[in-house]
Amino acid sequence: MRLLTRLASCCLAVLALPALAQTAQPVCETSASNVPLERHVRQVYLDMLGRPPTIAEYRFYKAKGAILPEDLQSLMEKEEFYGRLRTYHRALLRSNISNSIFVNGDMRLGDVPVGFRPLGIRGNPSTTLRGQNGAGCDAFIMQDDCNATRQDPHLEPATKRCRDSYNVPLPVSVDYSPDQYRCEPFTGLADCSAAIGQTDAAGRVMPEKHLLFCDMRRVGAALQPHYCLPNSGAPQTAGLTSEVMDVDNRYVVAFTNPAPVNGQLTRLNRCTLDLNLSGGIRGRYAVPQGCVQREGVVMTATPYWDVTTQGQVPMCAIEAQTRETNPWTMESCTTGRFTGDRSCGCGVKSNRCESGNTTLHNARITAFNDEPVMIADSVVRRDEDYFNILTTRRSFVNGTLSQMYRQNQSPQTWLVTPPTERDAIPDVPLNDVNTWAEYTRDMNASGVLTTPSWLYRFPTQRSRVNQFYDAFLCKHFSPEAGAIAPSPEDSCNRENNLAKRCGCSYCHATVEPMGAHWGRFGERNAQYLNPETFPRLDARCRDCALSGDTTCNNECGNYVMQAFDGDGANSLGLLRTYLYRTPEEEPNIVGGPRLMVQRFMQTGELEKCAVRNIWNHLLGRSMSSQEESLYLTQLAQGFANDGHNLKALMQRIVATDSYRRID
Amino acid sequence: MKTTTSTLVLFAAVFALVSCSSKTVEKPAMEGTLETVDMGHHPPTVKLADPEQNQGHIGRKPRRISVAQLRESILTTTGRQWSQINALAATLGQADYALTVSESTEVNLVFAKFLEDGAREVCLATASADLNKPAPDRVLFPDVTITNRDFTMMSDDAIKANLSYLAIRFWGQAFSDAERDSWAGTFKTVAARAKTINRPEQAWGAMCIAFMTDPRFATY
Repeated sequence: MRLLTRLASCCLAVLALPALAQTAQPVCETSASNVPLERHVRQVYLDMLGRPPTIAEYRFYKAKGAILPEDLQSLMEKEEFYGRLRTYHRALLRSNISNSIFVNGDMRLGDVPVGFRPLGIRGNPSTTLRGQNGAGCDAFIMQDDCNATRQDPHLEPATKRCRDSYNVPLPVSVDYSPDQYRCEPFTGLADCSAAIGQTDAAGRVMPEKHLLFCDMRRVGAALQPHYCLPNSGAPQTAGLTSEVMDVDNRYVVAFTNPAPVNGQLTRLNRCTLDLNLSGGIRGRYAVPQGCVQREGVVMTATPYWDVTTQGQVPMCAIEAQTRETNPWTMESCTTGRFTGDRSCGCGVKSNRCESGNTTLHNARITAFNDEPVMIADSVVRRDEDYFNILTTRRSFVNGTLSQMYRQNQSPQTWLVTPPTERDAIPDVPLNDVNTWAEYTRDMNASGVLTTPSWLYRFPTQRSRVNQFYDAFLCKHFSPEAGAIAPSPEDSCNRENNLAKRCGCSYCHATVEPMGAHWGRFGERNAQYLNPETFPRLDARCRDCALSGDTTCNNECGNYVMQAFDGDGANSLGLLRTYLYRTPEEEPNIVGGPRLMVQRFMQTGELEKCAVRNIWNHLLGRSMSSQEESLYLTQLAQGFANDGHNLKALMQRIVATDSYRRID
Repeated sequence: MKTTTSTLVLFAAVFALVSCSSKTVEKPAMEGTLETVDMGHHPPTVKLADPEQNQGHIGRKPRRISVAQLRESILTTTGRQWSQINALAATLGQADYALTVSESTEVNLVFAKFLEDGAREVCLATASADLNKPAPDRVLFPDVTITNRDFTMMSDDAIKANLSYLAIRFWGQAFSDAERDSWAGTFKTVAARAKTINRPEQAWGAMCIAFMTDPRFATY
């Protein structure tokens, strides 16, 4: 009878197991949970979906008694699971380039809130184009009707030239620069003729001979005469006390410094609308010192970022130009020099420039940050081999990236090579930031490792190697235990090749050849150095280097232009990544990151690191050495057998007893 | 036939008992490891490590929820979002992966202070809204019968039942009887105070704050 009772209770325990999972602890319990069911459900939900269960979900699992494998699989099909993994990959890839893009606003078109309200660049380039940092164009004069308004009749010719013979806009008004002159207003006067013999706001009486240094300037929208003399309080202009009279000996046309000391100006001429020629070369315009020469306004095509304005918008005449080259010198307008060339402008629909507010810039940063996360998401979502995230050519663009690539927008702020032919990139409207269209990148693409986010976030080849080792191999470069730096007097410190230099070679013997896998990608940018454009050896760069011209007109920045040792001397004119590379290492450059991943796939290290990372993600701590010996090989083998299916790996780890304990 | 079936059931039960019992005396297969619990519905994958060799940690490390998890937890448990959570995300530990490259899940006073602020905001708003909702739609007291918005009239059983419900909702953990009694006493005090100042939402709103600021809400 006692036996029957015991058997009956045991059978009941088996049958009623789900309900008793938390309370009774019969010997034959088959529940695996080391924590109460609800708590286990909560941790699974927080780890898998990033949220706790709802009350309905708690009740569902309480009725069911356990989370079964099919429940886990169901959770891993939820959008929240993919969102959680996107967060995981964003952290793994450190995908945030907000601090990696150099942007100083020099290419941003801002609104001048007066007159015709033209768009214009107001930053550093204004010094070259107009004579003063921050100076805009004349917002009150239309460029092609430049004689309709005469701001300073006494400084201007009877008939102004609005443009030169190549249609490059010329100044339509002029002011004296506050950088060199002290200008004070005359109150209550209509023009400079009336100011002769009058006292300005500083108590200075303007003689007639200084008429040419009277400047009609805008105070708000109104013109007001100002008396401008070299600023005696500024060191640069302090000695400009001698006057130079015109041929009729009636008006002063310049001030000179009879005894200039270091850094002082020797002469300041009166300002006119005439431009100087830099180096005497026609087409290389320069603004005379002490003058602010402004061009006028034109109506031009709406900038690409303005998707609401129909028709044309007012823009400063220099910025409104669309040339590809300077018509006088044939110098390129498609490089960063366009901002300082009066004949270039912002290009078609202002594609070389950027919006004055930061909305679009921030949208680009967000989109580039999201791109590698989208790649990883697509691999996991499609149950592909997890390491496709490192090798796939698949990528995605939203409207921001689509139009940036297709329209070649802001090419100087964003030094990014289009991932494939511009026309092959999906056409998504600019303001559609939430639609991501899939496309296939060129052969050089290798998963997340060649995305602009990765290349900008890790700007050098060495940092790219370092992060790859850290994130995907779980290895860190650090000095040998107990290592002591060699004495500074040691001759080995003079070795330029870090892969050989004492004290450095411990890490760099690995870092340097590995970095060569990114050798065809620029540093501090996201450009692909196409072999057709950037051959292994550029004869012109070599010739420049041999002749001592180490800049070679700024076109050899990716090449070895200086030699510091024998290897360097033999490498002049070589693409920089080839410097110090052995014949055995050169295939790394050609193979790119994809070749590196393929090699590591053969070692099994990628699998083990993925297991470690997911273990850490789910258990909140890294594996101990004993756990590695117990679990790592088994889990990595299982991961490999599952075709590197990340969901299956997560399911394996969640199923471990370790995950079901909290201690 | 009936006898045969009974015999089979009995045999199976005896077999189960013997096999279950024998498991308790089975020796570890490897020195320095613990035997795993039979998983039943899925195969045991690994042995457990030796706690002594792992500083006592062989399971999950209890940890604070991340800011993203906090955001979702508040929304899931109270049905509304804390208006300041995005503004305070960096302070609460969220990494931006540019300047801060790892999420901080440190449990510290700054986190506790701001979480309390958030709890006050969302709990009182939820409790206020609940007062005007039919029972099934309420978040904090879906099964409570409200009489003149006076929660001092609730029976002990009703209070304890709702506290148990909230413990699962906020923590995923059941109360012990002693703790539940203690919380019920607290609720009675709070409900009386809420009635005195005529702020009925503060009764369960205050308990919501208590649940949300309890370490069990922010850790798992």
